[in-house]
This record gives sequence, structure tokens and C-alpha cells, in this order.
Amino acid sequence: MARFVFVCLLQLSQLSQAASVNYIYRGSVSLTDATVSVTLCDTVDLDASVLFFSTSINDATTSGTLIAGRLTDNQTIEFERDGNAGTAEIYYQVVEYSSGVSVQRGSTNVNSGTVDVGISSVNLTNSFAMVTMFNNGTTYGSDDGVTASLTTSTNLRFQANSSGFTAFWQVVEYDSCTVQKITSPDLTGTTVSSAITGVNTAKTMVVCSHRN
Amino acid sequence: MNADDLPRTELVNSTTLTHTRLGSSGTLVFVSYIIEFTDNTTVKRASLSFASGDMSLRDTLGTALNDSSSIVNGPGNFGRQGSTNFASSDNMGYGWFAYDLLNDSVVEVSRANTGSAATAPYEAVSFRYDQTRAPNFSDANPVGPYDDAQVRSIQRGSVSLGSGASVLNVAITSVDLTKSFLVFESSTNDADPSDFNVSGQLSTSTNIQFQRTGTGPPVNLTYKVIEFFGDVTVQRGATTLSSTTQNQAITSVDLDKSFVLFSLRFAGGSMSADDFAVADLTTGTNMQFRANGTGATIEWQVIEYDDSYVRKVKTALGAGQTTKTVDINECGSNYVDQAKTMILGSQAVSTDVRPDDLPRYELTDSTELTITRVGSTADLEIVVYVVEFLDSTTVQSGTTDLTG
Repeated sequence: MARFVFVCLLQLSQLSQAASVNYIYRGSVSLTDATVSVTLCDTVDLDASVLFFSTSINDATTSGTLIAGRLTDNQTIEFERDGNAGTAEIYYQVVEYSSGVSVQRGSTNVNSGTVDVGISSVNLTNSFAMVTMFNNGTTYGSDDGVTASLTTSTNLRFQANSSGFTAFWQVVEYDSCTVQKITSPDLTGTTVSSAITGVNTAKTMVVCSHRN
Repeated sequence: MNADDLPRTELVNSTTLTHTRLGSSGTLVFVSYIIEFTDNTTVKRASLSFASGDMSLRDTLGTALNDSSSIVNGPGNFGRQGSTNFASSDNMGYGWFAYDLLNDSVVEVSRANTGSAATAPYEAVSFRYDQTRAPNFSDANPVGPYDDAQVRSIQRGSVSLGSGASVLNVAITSVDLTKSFLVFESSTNDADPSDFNVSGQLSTSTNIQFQRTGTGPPVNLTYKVIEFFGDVTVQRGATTLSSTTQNQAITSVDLDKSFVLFSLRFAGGSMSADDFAVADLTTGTNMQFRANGTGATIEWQVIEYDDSYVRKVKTALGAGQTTKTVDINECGSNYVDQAKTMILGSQAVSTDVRPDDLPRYELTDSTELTITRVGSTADLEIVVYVVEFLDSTTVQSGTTDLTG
């Protein structure tokens, strides 16, 4: 009997700490100009909401294709690029959690090769950073990538091979996960692999950024 | 750099993260986060191989996800990067992808250009759903499915509101009015709204009252009174429209779980703007009726169904327009399960109409509602409640053409 009670209490404890989704707002929008805003049908808790999005676009200019996205207030998503060439189809998902997730976000002008941004303290073992950027230019080059790295519990570091662009970022602290941050060997050929501590692939997702 | 110089990112096994590209110009430096969930979040992944001519591909997930708590994401740079062999320029239409979770079991991945092969990895992440949104949540029942709103009884029957009569009372076995609602349909061979517009209401716990203002030909009525043990709360009343926009206060409800059933009666010899209305739950404590005429009496029921998620679609069909498809997710909410979703539509009309000017409502897929009519006289203001049941309730639907 004592063992049974213990197991029940343990399960309840784990559940109380688990992240759980309150609601997901999803949809698509066309970006035909430099910016487009999406008004969600309801407000979200900004401290507990994460924006995921992806885009497709038929264009060869970096000012047209590099699109950044962010939640500007508790009911608005903004997507932004430097130019307006081509129409981008953007699919977004805003995940609002009821518990177990804390989100910080911001917009940073990456005005040198390395830019450090102070953040409220997070636990590095269960936090990760997401970044998107927009930039001017006509061809994809060494100035069109940026990495976002949590270097300490209170510092988010952006690194690029150029400067003068804007990055929108989110730092997500997710209570019920374990995060490995991997800086892979430089990719100079066609493939590069990194060894990681073994994970259950059925319970693991990847968030990646790179600089050129 | 050209498009082929940008890589895709994949977790290829439990201990290896790989970045792969077809070209090899430029040096890339990666920072990746490997996020292993320790709650009951699950991740399904696949890489889709695009042939040169493929613009989009769909992939069926082996097991359906809970689409209320799931996303699809690209693990590559910016959440959208795959790999392509397009080496002629840096056009990102070949190797950048948009990811969409079409429903609980299908992922669609698309790009903006064809003409080169490409590979697009994706990850479908199903987070833990917040079960506290379920009724009767407790620590003792923390992760169970939604509780059922269990039916206590259904009383049904067919009656006739006879020629010359304007009121029909139908005795029923006593029900709890706060947990019961009335659904009914009518048919008649008559052209006067005063005769065929019949309202119905549970007037007492043991009586249904049908009313019309006229006393014309008989109207055949088929009714169901559905009583629940719990998880369903019903308010009801009668409101006579003295204004074309009239607010009716109600006891507070959760708009995400509530919808309106109503019927109306009114005098008149032709079907016109004062014979129709919409009922719009504008706030948790207010129901707004809108019509293009006054005088009608509306018998209404506001039903708060705990184990449901209700989306309200507000739209219009203009004069001259016979059909319209509306995205029921225009608010960016989730897809509905058609097998668990019913729709309740109402319309206000701008002028005199014939039967062919009135629409039917159909849930044509998991994201769209289609409104169709044969005639096209009058502007229609439309309010539709899309009620998705989260308990074990199921819905079957179809369309039958009547001939002759």
C-alpha cells in the first residue's frame, strides 16, 4: 500500500510540473509588402506563448526572402522583411501554454559580428533560443545568417559574419524537457554530423540556426 | 551562395545530428538545440523527397495527433530550410518550405518553385494538452479524457399544430429545465409567415409550447427534448424585437462552449426582413439579436455545453451571390473534427425573399463552411455556431436532394 501511494504522489507531482498547451492559433497569411500583421482572434499570454512559422517564396533576393516574425503584443503577429519582392506564403502557429513554459522575446539590431543581449535568468538545461532575421541585399551571402546561442543563463549571443540587420528572437524555458546545445563543426563540404547524448527520438525536436 | 549551398538539418538517430546540403560553397556554422521532452510530448519526424516537379507533398502521420496541442515545424534554419540541388541562383523558392498541419494526421509541405529536387525534413510535435480545460478536472482525474455530458433522457414525438390553432401544448415527462433543451423541425404547405413561422419552447418542466401568430393550415412538428445529467446548462426566454438590434442579458456563459438555438413567430403575409434574425453571443453575458425589421418574438435557448469547443462564424452573403465558402478557422484556431462537429446557422435578410433565397449550411471539410442558396435576392447577415464536441459525442452529416 505504501508503494502505491508513493507512486500516485509522484505522478501527480510530475504532472503539476509538465508543460501543457492551452491553445494553438494557426493560420496562413500572404506577405506582399515589407510587413504584414495578423490579428489573433483572442489574446494570448505573451509570457507563455511561442511563435513558430515557416515560409515559401519564389524570389532570389535576400531582402525579399529573409522574413522575421514576432508577437508584437498579446493579439498580434508581425512578419517583416527589408524588401517587397515576391509574395511569401507564411504558415504560423502560436502555441499558448497553460503552465510550465516561460517565454522571453525581443528585437535586436545585430550591429557587429557578436552581439550579447541580457535576458532574465533561465535554466540552461531546459531552455532554447529561436531566431529569425531580415536584411537588405540582393544575393544570399555571408551576411545573411545568424546564430542564437544561450551562452549563460542571462545572456543570449548573436553571431554573424556581418552586421547591420535585425533579428527577432524568442527564448523558451520549458520545464519538462532536457536541452542539449550543439555547436556543430563547420560545414565546408556537403555534410557534417555531431554526436549528441543519446535521446529518445520520439520525444525530441530540433531548433537550429546557422551563420555563413 | 546558391540555393544548393544551404543545408537541411535532421536528427538521424538517437545520437547524431546531421546537416546536409548538395552544394559546398561557403562555410556554415551551426548552433542547434536538441530538446528532449520529459513530459508526454511526442515527436514524429520524416523527410519528404521532392521530385523536380513537386510543388507540395502531403505526408500521413501513422497515428493521429491531438491537433489542439500539436504543431509541425522544420528543424532547419529559421524553421523552414530544406536542401535542394538548385545551383543556378540563390532563389529560395526551391529549398525553403512552408509546413502546415492540415488535420490531426496529415502534414503538408510546400515550396514556391519547381524545377529541382529537394528534401524537406519536418517534425510534428504533439504537446501535452491542458486537461484542466476539461470539466470536472481534479487532481484525482488529471489526465483523463473529457468527461461525457451524459444524456439522461430523450423525449421525442410528432405533433400537429392544427388548422385554426395558434398554440399547441405538448405534455412531457418532467425534466430539469436547466439541463434540457428543445430541438424541433416543422413542415407545412402555406405561404404566410404568420402561419408557418412556429416558435417552440419548454414552457415548464412538463410542457412544450409551440406558438404562431396565425391560425392557418396545420403545421407538422417533430420534436426532441434532450435532458442531460450534467455538464450542460441551459438558459431560455422569449424576446420580442422592438429594435433591429436588441440586446438580451443572460447569465454569464463561457463563449468557447456556448451556442444559441432559437425560433421565432411573427404576423405577416409574405416572407420579409422582419421574419428572420441572427442571435449573436457578443459577450459572456449578452446575446444580441439582429434583424431588419421589428415585432417578431424569439424563443431562445442558450446552451453551455462543457465538453465542447464552439467557434462562431460571422459572415454575409450579398444580393446576387449564391454561394460562399468561409474559413471557420479565420481566427487562427484549430481544425475541427467533422465527425464530432455540428453547425447551427441563422440569417437576417435585407428584404422580401422567396424560399429559394434562403441558404443551407454545410461543413464541407475540417476547415471550411459552405453556404449555398439557389436564388440570390437579398443580402444575408449570417451567424453560424460551429460546435465541436470534445467528449464521445459523434456527428453524422449528409446532404439529401429532394426531387419532385
